[in-house]
Amino acid sequence: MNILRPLSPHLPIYKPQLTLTFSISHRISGAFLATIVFFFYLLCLKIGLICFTYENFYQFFFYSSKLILISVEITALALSYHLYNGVRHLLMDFLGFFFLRIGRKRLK
Amino acid sequence: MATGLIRRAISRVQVTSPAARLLVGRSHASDAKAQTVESKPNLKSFQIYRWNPDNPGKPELQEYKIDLKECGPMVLDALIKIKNEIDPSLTFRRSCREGICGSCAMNIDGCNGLACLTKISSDSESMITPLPHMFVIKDLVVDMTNFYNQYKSIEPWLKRKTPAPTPGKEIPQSKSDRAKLDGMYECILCACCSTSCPSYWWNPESYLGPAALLQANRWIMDSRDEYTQERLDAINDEFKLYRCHTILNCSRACPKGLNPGKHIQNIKRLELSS
Repeated sequence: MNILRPLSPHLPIYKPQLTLTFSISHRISGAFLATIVFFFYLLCLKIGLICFTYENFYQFFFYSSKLILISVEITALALSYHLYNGVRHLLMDFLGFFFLRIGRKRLK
Repeated sequence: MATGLIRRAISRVQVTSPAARLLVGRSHASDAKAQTVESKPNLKSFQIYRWNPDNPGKPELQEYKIDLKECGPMVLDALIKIKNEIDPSLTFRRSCREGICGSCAMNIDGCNGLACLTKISSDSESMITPLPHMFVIKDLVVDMTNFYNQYKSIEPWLKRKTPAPTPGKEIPQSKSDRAKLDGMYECILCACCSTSCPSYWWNPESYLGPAALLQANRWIMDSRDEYTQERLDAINDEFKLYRCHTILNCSRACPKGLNPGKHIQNIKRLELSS
Protein backbone atom coordinates (compact mmCIF):
# COMPACT_ATOMS: atom_id res chain seq x y z
CA MET A 1 0.00 0.00 0.00
CA ASN A 2 1.41 3.34 -0.94
CA ILE A 3 -0.59 5.55 1.41
CA LEU A 4 1.53 7.87 3.52
CA ARG A 5 0.44 7.49 7.10
CA PRO A 6 0.09 10.69 9.10
CA LEU A 7 2.08 11.30 12.24
CA SER A 8 -0.08 11.68 15.34
CA PRO A 9 0.00 15.19 16.85
CA HIS A 10 2.60 15.73 19.55
CA LEU A 11 3.61 19.28 20.40
CA PRO A 12 0.30 20.97 19.55
CA ILE A 13 -1.80 18.72 21.74
CA TYR A 14 0.43 17.60 24.59
CA LYS A 15 -0.53 19.22 27.87
CA PRO A 16 2.27 21.44 29.14
CA GLN A 17 3.53 19.74 32.27
CA LEU A 18 5.87 20.87 34.99
CA THR A 19 8.48 18.27 34.06
CA LEU A 20 8.88 19.22 30.46
CA THR A 21 8.50 22.96 31.17
CA PHE A 22 11.50 22.80 33.50
CA SER A 23 13.53 20.93 30.94
CA ILE A 24 12.86 23.12 27.92
CA SER A 25 13.30 26.33 29.95
CA HIS A 26 16.68 25.02 31.08
CA ARG A 27 17.67 24.50 27.46
CA ILE A 28 16.33 27.87 26.27
CA SER A 29 17.93 29.81 29.14
CA GLY A 30 21.20 28.01 28.47
CA ALA A 31 21.11 28.92 24.78
CA PHE A 32 20.19 32.52 25.63
CA LEU A 33 23.06 32.86 28.10
CA ALA A 34 25.45 31.35 25.58
CA THR A 35 24.52 33.96 22.96
CA ILE A 36 24.81 36.76 25.52
CA VAL A 37 28.28 35.61 26.53
CA PHE A 38 29.28 35.22 22.87
CA PHE A 39 28.21 38.72 21.91
CA PHE A 40 29.78 40.19 25.02
CA TYR A 41 33.04 38.46 24.08
CA LEU A 42 32.88 39.68 20.48
CA LEU A 43 31.86 43.20 21.32
CA CYS A 44 33.84 44.14 24.36
CA LEU A 45 36.86 41.92 24.35
CA LYS A 46 37.64 41.39 20.69
CA ILE A 47 36.73 44.74 19.16
CA GLY A 48 38.14 46.65 22.07
CA LEU A 49 38.70 50.35 22.22
CA ILE A 50 38.71 50.92 18.45
CA CYS A 51 34.91 50.71 18.47
CA PHE A 52 34.64 54.10 20.10
CA THR A 53 35.97 55.77 16.93
CA TYR A 54 33.09 54.56 14.76
CA GLU A 55 30.02 56.75 14.44
CA ASN A 56 27.68 53.83 13.77
CA PHE A 57 28.64 52.33 17.09
CA TYR A 58 27.26 55.38 18.91
CA GLN A 59 24.01 55.28 16.91
CA PHE A 60 23.52 51.61 17.73
CA PHE A 61 24.47 52.12 21.34
CA PHE A 62 22.02 54.99 21.79
CA TYR A 63 19.19 52.98 20.25
CA SER A 64 19.84 49.95 22.34
CA SER A 65 20.59 51.82 25.56
CA LYS A 66 16.87 51.87 26.26
CA LEU A 67 16.78 48.12 25.89
CA ILE A 68 19.80 47.44 28.08
CA LEU A 69 17.96 47.56 31.39
CA ILE A 70 15.28 45.07 30.34
CA SER A 71 17.80 42.77 28.69
CA VAL A 72 19.92 42.78 31.85
CA GLU A 73 16.84 41.79 33.85
CA ILE A 74 16.03 38.99 31.43
CA THR A 75 19.63 37.79 31.47
CA ALA A 76 19.65 37.75 35.26
CA LEU A 77 16.42 35.74 35.25
CA ALA A 78 17.83 33.27 32.74
CA LEU A 79 21.05 32.93 34.69
CA SER A 80 19.38 32.32 38.03
CA TYR A 81 16.89 29.86 36.56
CA HIS A 82 19.59 27.96 34.70
CA LEU A 83 21.75 27.85 37.82
CA TYR A 84 19.00 26.56 40.11
CA ASN A 85 17.81 24.02 37.58
CA GLY A 86 21.39 22.89 36.99
CA VAL A 87 21.85 22.34 40.71
CA ARG A 88 18.58 20.39 40.77
CA HIS A 89 19.81 18.20 37.92
CA LEU A 90 23.09 17.49 39.64
CA LEU A 91 21.33 16.66 42.91
CA MET A 92 18.96 14.34 41.10
CA ASP A 93 21.78 12.58 39.31
CA PHE A 94 23.89 11.91 42.36
CA LEU A 95 21.57 11.94 45.35
CA GLY A 96 18.51 10.11 44.08
CA PHE A 97 15.14 11.35 43.06
CA PHE A 98 14.04 13.86 45.66
CA PHE A 99 12.30 16.14 43.24
CA LEU A 100 10.39 13.58 41.28
CA ARG A 101 7.23 13.82 43.35
CA ILE A 102 6.17 17.08 41.75
CA GLY A 103 3.03 16.45 39.78
CA ARG A 104 2.87 12.70 40.23
CA LYS A 105 -0.31 10.99 41.33
CA ARG A 106 0.69 7.43 42.11
CA LEU A 107 4.21 6.80 43.25
CA LYS A 108 6.28 3.68 43.01
CA MET B 1 -28.91 18.80 39.19
CA ALA B 2 -28.17 19.60 42.82
CA THR B 3 -31.81 20.38 43.52
CA GLY B 4 -32.75 17.06 41.91
CA LEU B 5 -30.35 15.27 44.24
CA ILE B 6 -31.76 17.03 47.29
CA ARG B 7 -35.29 16.14 46.22
CA ARG B 8 -34.33 12.51 45.80
CA ALA B 9 -32.55 12.47 49.19
CA ILE B 10 -35.63 13.91 50.88
CA SER B 11 -37.95 11.39 49.26
CA ARG B 12 -35.62 8.56 50.22
CA VAL B 13 -35.48 9.71 53.85
CA GLN B 14 -39.28 9.87 54.02
CA VAL B 15 -39.73 6.30 52.80
CA THR B 16 -38.04 4.48 55.70
CA SER B 17 -40.76 2.48 57.54
CA PRO B 18 -43.42 0.46 55.68
CA ALA B 19 -46.18 2.49 57.34
CA ALA B 20 -44.58 5.69 56.26
CA ARG B 21 -44.26 4.25 52.76
CA LEU B 22 -48.06 3.77 52.60
CA LEU B 23 -48.63 7.29 53.79
CA VAL B 24 -46.25 9.02 51.43
CA GLY B 25 -47.24 6.80 48.49
CA ARG B 26 -49.22 9.50 46.77
CA SER B 27 -46.77 12.28 47.36
CA HIS B 28 -44.02 9.97 46.13
CA ALA B 29 -45.82 9.48 42.82
CA SER B 30 -46.08 13.18 42.21
CA ASP B 31 -42.45 13.46 43.22
CA ALA B 32 -41.53 10.83 40.60
CA LYS B 33 -43.18 12.86 37.86
CA ALA B 34 -41.30 15.92 38.94
CA GLN B 35 -38.03 13.90 38.92
CA THR B 36 -38.35 12.66 35.32
CA VAL B 37 -38.85 16.22 34.12
CA GLU B 38 -35.77 17.35 35.99
CA SER B 39 -33.22 14.67 34.95
CA LYS B 40 -31.61 16.40 32.01
CA PRO B 41 -28.96 14.44 30.15
CA ASN B 42 -25.47 15.48 31.21
CA LEU B 43 -23.90 15.94 27.79
CA LYS B 44 -20.17 15.98 27.27
CA SER B 45 -18.55 16.37 23.90
CA PHE B 46 -15.56 14.28 22.90
CA GLN B 47 -13.30 15.53 20.12
CA ILE B 48 -11.76 12.38 18.70
CA TYR B 49 -8.95 12.18 16.13
CA ARG B 50 -10.13 10.47 12.95
CA TRP B 51 -8.18 9.34 9.90
CA ASN B 52 -9.26 6.70 7.43
CA PRO B 53 -6.60 4.97 5.28
CA ASP B 54 -9.28 3.82 2.81
CA ASN B 55 -10.32 7.41 2.23
CA PRO B 56 -7.15 9.32 3.01
CA GLY B 57 -7.35 13.05 3.46
CA LYS B 58 -6.31 15.26 6.33
CA PRO B 59 -6.84 13.83 9.80
CA GLU B 60 -9.63 15.60 11.63
CA LEU B 61 -11.16 15.93 15.08
CA GLN B 62 -14.73 14.67 15.04
CA GLU B 63 -17.09 15.65 17.81
CA TYR B 64 -19.40 13.21 19.59
CA LYS B 65 -21.83 14.07 22.38
CA ILE B 66 -22.38 11.54 25.11
CA ASP B 67 -24.82 11.54 28.02
CA LEU B 68 -22.60 10.86 31.00
CA LYS B 69 -25.54 9.56 33.03
CA GLU B 70 -25.87 6.59 30.71
CA CYS B 71 -22.19 5.86 30.40
CA GLY B 72 -19.57 4.16 32.56
CA PRO B 73 -17.00 6.31 34.35
CA MET B 74 -13.96 5.56 32.22
CA VAL B 75 -12.99 6.98 28.84
CA LEU B 76 -13.03 3.48 27.37
CA ASP B 77 -16.71 3.18 28.33
CA ALA B 78 -17.40 6.39 26.41
CA LEU B 79 -15.48 5.15 23.36
CA ILE B 80 -17.34 1.83 23.34
CA LYS B 81 -20.66 3.67 23.74
CA ILE B 82 -19.81 5.90 20.78
CA LYS B 83 -18.85 2.88 18.70
CA ASN B 84 -22.01 0.98 19.67
CA GLU B 85 -24.57 3.74 19.35
CA ILE B 86 -23.27 6.61 17.24
CA ASP B 87 -20.41 5.70 14.90
CA PRO B 88 -19.35 2.06 14.41
CA SER B 89 -16.40 3.08 12.28
CA LEU B 90 -14.47 4.52 15.25
CA THR B 91 -11.37 2.34 15.56
CA PHE B 92 -9.31 1.82 18.71
CA ARG B 93 -7.43 -0.96 20.45
CA ARG B 94 -8.81 -2.43 23.66
CA SER B 95 -8.78 -5.77 25.45
CA CYS B 96 -8.86 -6.24 29.20
CA ARG B 97 -10.73 -3.05 30.27
CA GLU B 98 -8.89 -3.19 33.58
CA GLY B 99 -5.50 -1.61 32.98
CA ILE B 100 -3.32 -4.69 32.63
CA CYS B 101 -3.00 -5.34 28.90
CA GLY B 102 -1.91 -1.89 27.76
CA SER B 103 -3.87 -1.94 24.49
CA CYS B 104 -5.98 1.16 25.04
CA ALA B 105 -3.07 3.57 25.52
CA MET B 106 -3.92 6.94 23.99
CA ASN B 107 -3.62 10.64 24.63
CA ILE B 108 -6.58 11.95 26.65
CA ASP B 109 -6.85 15.71 27.22
CA GLY B 110 -3.17 16.14 26.42
CA CYS B 111 -1.82 13.43 28.75
CA ASN B 112 -0.93 9.88 27.81
CA GLY B 113 -2.80 7.20 29.70
CA LEU B 114 -4.89 4.05 29.48
CA ALA B 115 -8.47 4.73 28.39
CA CYS B 116 -9.77 2.02 30.72
CA LEU B 117 -8.13 3.62 33.75
CA THR B 118 -8.72 7.30 32.98
CA LYS B 119 -11.92 8.67 34.45
CA ILE B 120 -13.97 10.94 32.21
CA SER B 121 -13.29 14.44 33.45
CA SER B 122 -16.22 16.68 34.32
CA ASP B 123 -15.23 19.39 31.81
CA SER B 124 -17.67 19.95 28.99
CA GLU B 125 -15.13 18.93 26.33
CA SER B 126 -12.45 16.27 26.06
CA MET B 127 -9.92 15.67 23.34
CA ILE B 128 -8.77 12.15 22.51
CA THR B 129 -5.86 11.69 20.14
CA PRO B 130 -3.60 8.71 19.50
CA LEU B 131 -0.20 8.30 21.17
CA PRO B 132 1.95 11.28 20.13
CA HIS B 133 4.48 11.19 17.30
CA MET B 134 3.60 7.70 16.07
CA PHE B 135 2.41 6.73 12.61
CA VAL B 136 -1.36 6.35 12.57
CA ILE B 137 -2.81 3.20 11.03
CA LYS B 138 -6.44 4.24 11.52
CA ASP B 139 -8.20 6.63 13.92
CA LEU B 140 -6.68 5.92 17.35
CA VAL B 141 -4.59 2.90 16.32
CA VAL B 142 -0.86 3.57 15.91
CA ASP B 143 2.01 1.58 14.48
CA MET B 144 3.90 0.01 17.38
CA THR B 145 6.44 -2.07 15.40
CA ASN B 146 9.33 0.31 16.11
CA PHE B 147 8.50 0.27 19.82
CA TYR B 148 8.39 -3.55 19.94
CA ASN B 149 11.60 -3.86 17.94
CA GLN B 150 13.38 -1.62 20.42
CA TYR B 151 12.10 -3.82 23.24
CA LYS B 152 13.35 -6.91 21.42
CA SER B 153 16.75 -5.31 20.84
CA ILE B 154 17.59 -5.22 24.56
CA GLU B 155 17.17 -9.04 24.70
CA PRO B 156 14.55 -9.25 27.45
CA TRP B 157 15.24 -12.84 28.55
CA LEU B 158 17.44 -14.51 31.14
CA LYS B 159 20.95 -15.14 29.88
CA ARG B 160 23.43 -17.24 31.83
CA LYS B 161 26.96 -18.39 31.25
CA THR B 162 26.96 -21.11 33.94
CA PRO B 163 24.21 -23.72 34.22
CA ALA B 164 21.67 -23.52 37.05
CA PRO B 165 22.91 -24.63 40.52
CA THR B 166 20.46 -27.53 40.65
CA PRO B 167 19.81 -28.63 37.05
CA GLY B 168 16.17 -28.79 36.01
CA LYS B 169 15.04 -26.65 38.96
CA GLU B 170 14.52 -22.90 39.27
CA ILE B 171 17.47 -20.64 40.01
CA PRO B 172 17.08 -19.51 43.62
CA GLN B 173 16.83 -15.81 44.32
CA SER B 174 16.74 -14.17 47.72
CA LYS B 175 13.84 -11.95 48.74
CA SER B 176 16.02 -8.85 48.74
CA ASP B 177 17.23 -9.60 45.20
CA ARG B 178 13.64 -10.11 44.10
CA ALA B 179 12.68 -6.82 45.73
CA LYS B 180 15.14 -5.08 43.40
CA LEU B 181 12.83 -5.94 40.50
CA ASP B 182 9.82 -4.21 42.06
CA GLY B 183 8.82 -1.17 40.07
CA MET B 184 10.12 -2.69 36.84
CA TYR B 185 8.39 -6.03 36.35
CA GLU B 186 4.93 -4.40 36.47
CA CYS B 187 5.54 -2.66 33.15
CA ILE B 188 2.78 -3.59 30.67
CA LEU B 189 4.53 -2.09 27.61
CA CYS B 190 1.67 0.26 26.87
CA ALA B 191 4.10 2.84 25.36
CA CYS B 192 2.58 5.76 27.30
CA CYS B 193 5.99 6.73 28.68
CA SER B 194 8.01 6.46 25.48
CA THR B 195 5.49 8.44 23.47
CA SER B 196 5.38 11.17 26.11
CA CYS B 197 9.14 11.76 25.92
CA PRO B 198 10.06 14.71 23.66
CA SER B 199 13.50 13.18 23.17
CA TYR B 200 11.83 10.04 21.82
CA TRP B 201 9.71 12.22 19.51
CA TRP B 202 12.77 13.75 17.89
CA ASN B 203 14.82 10.51 17.70
CA PRO B 204 12.36 7.60 17.61
CA GLU B 205 14.59 5.20 15.75
CA SER B 206 17.90 5.76 17.51
CA TYR B 207 16.81 6.48 21.09
CA LEU B 208 15.45 3.39 22.86
CA GLY B 209 12.85 5.24 24.90
CA PRO B 210 11.94 4.96 28.59
CA ALA B 211 9.99 1.69 28.27
CA ALA B 212 12.81 -0.28 26.63
CA LEU B 213 15.36 1.26 29.01
CA LEU B 214 13.20 0.37 32.02
CA GLN B 215 13.11 -3.23 30.84
CA ALA B 216 16.86 -3.13 30.16
CA ASN B 217 17.34 -2.10 33.79
CA ARG B 218 15.02 -4.92 34.86
CA TRP B 219 17.38 -7.44 33.27
CA ILE B 220 20.51 -5.66 34.43
CA MET B 221 19.27 -5.70 38.04
CA ASP B 222 18.14 -9.33 37.92
CA SER B 223 20.52 -11.30 40.11
CA ARG B 224 19.95 -14.49 38.12
CA ASP B 225 21.18 -12.91 34.88
CA GLU B 226 24.92 -13.22 34.25
CA TYR B 227 25.34 -11.01 31.20
CA THR B 228 25.12 -7.73 33.15
CA GLN B 229 28.29 -6.19 31.74
CA GLU B 230 27.39 -7.10 28.17
CA ARG B 231 23.93 -5.61 28.62
CA LEU B 232 25.42 -2.38 29.96
CA ASP B 233 27.88 -2.20 27.07
CA ALA B 234 25.16 -2.80 24.50
CA ILE B 235 23.22 0.32 25.45
CA ASN B 236 26.25 2.47 26.36
CA ASP B 237 25.71 4.51 23.23
CA GLU B 238 25.37 8.20 22.49
CA PHE B 239 21.89 7.68 21.11
CA LYS B 240 20.46 4.58 22.71
CA LEU B 241 20.78 5.75 26.29
CA TYR B 242 22.11 9.27 26.40
CA ARG B 243 19.35 10.95 24.48
CA CYS B 244 17.63 10.90 27.86
CA HIS B 245 17.93 14.41 29.28
CA THR B 246 15.89 13.63 32.42
CA ILE B 247 12.89 15.49 31.13
CA LEU B 248 10.89 13.06 33.32
CA ASN B 249 7.70 13.25 31.29
CA CYS B 250 7.76 9.44 31.29
CA SER B 251 7.29 9.11 35.04
CA ARG B 252 4.51 11.65 34.91
CA ALA B 253 2.69 9.70 32.17
CA CYS B 254 2.97 6.10 33.41
CA PRO B 255 -0.56 4.81 34.07
CA LYS B 256 0.72 2.07 36.39
CA GLY B 257 2.63 4.52 38.59
CA LEU B 258 6.08 3.28 37.59
CA ASN B 259 9.13 5.52 37.50
CA PRO B 260 11.18 4.97 34.31
CA GLY B 261 13.27 8.08 34.95
CA LYS B 262 14.63 6.67 38.18
CA HIS B 263 15.61 3.39 36.53
CA ILE B 264 17.27 5.10 33.57
CA GLN B 265 19.25 7.07 36.15
CA ASN B 266 20.25 3.77 37.71
CA ILE B 267 21.58 2.54 34.35
CA LYS B 268 23.58 5.77 33.89
CA ARG B 269 25.03 5.38 37.36
CA LEU B 270 26.04 1.78 36.64
CA GLU B 271 27.60 2.83 33.34
CA LEU B 272 29.72 5.38 35.20
CA SER B 273 31.16 2.78 37.51
CA SER B 274 31.72 0.03 34.92
